[in-house]
Amino acid sequence: MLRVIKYIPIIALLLLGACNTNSGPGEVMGYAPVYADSSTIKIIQFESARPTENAGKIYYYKGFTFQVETGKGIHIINSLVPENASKIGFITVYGCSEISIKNDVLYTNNMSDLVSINISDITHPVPTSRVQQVFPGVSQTSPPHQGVYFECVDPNLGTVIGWTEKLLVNPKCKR
Amino acid sequence: MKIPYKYSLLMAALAILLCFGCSKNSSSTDPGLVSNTGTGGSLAKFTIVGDYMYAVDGSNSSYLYAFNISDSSKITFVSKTYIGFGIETIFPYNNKLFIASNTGMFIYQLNNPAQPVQENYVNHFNGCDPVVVSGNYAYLTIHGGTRCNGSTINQLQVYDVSSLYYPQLVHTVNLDNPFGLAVHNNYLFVCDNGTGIRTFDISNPMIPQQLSITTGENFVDLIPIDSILVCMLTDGVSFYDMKQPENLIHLKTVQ
Repeated sequence: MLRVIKYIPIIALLLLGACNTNSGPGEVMGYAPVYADSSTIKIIQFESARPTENAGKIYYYKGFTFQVETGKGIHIINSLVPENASKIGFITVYGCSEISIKNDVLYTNNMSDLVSINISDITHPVPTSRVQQVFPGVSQTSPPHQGVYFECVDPNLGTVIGWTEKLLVNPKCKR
Repeated sequence: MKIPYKYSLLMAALAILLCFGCSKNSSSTDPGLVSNTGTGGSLAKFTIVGDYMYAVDGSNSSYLYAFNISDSSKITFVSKTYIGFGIETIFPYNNKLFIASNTGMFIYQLNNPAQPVQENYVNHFNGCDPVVVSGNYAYLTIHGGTRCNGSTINQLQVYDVSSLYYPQLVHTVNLDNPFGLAVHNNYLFVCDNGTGIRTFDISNPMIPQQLSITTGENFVDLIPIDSILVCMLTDGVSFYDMKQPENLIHLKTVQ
């Protein structure tokens, strides 16, 4: 019995420590919003090839392989001869995560819109149609996962185009 | 509110089945054979069948969207059907959509392509999963993790879907942490993260037999095209020669 009593102050201290949340959780893995300038988020255009940073889904069409750059656009890879496969360019599409192609028209999500892009000339993609506000889109307030810490959103920095995993120091927001 | 909605869906399904039941086989098309449509991986949330593009969103309560794309300069949103919680992937096969969720697999029929109708739902343990279908069998991987309801199950499951009304789980293979998968002829390829691509012989489609593991890259998903395997990596794309599926030969990695 005495042995247990001896530990009571330590247990009490531990309990007190647990109540003290003012200092935050310290360094934790969580999520941070990725911002873009609201006026540019609907601009779809061809740019030169760039390194892959956040590799997304892939799609194959007539010798070309497309890979989503999560939230930013689509890498275009000429893979007609797979041993010599190489990037030939990039299509900027903010908020994009999915691709589908039929008859030289690429369908993708641009934030919460569905857009069609004519790619018959692959280096001159031409947006042809847009269905506005059809998908839920990226949350402007919290990341798409439960029970995680995240960097609070500052609307002054622009529109949130995605959420990325990040090491956070005493984050103030949690969901 | 929910029960009458469910019944109305059921009644609609019954009505459509009664109307189209006889012509079901003649109307089936395999989108993979339509050369003007490209090919996505098993993790896709967009897919095209005929003049329609279908999408599932990745939100907590997900819908199945149908768009008419017969005129690409004027795509039109035609319907939105509530599916359920944690929808992961969509796979078209034989005029059906196989939709994988955190809790199971939904099968939607496209007799009226503008309005997909749920034909069945198979429950499995919690976990994240894509599904692909070949012949009478659906192959589905389940992986665990905190984002997947905290599941610790990592498996390949084989379902007999010859009767779409009574899909039967016929076989399971324990894996490490599987993601995307693809079927090509008599072979099944499964990305088992941290381990590589597992090649299975599915000459007996019910019981996949592992032939080899190809390691060296962090594979997430796969698209087989003729004799080439296009692989989604965590940091790019790579291409493999699969003339001998048990002996994949690396051709190029693009990052």
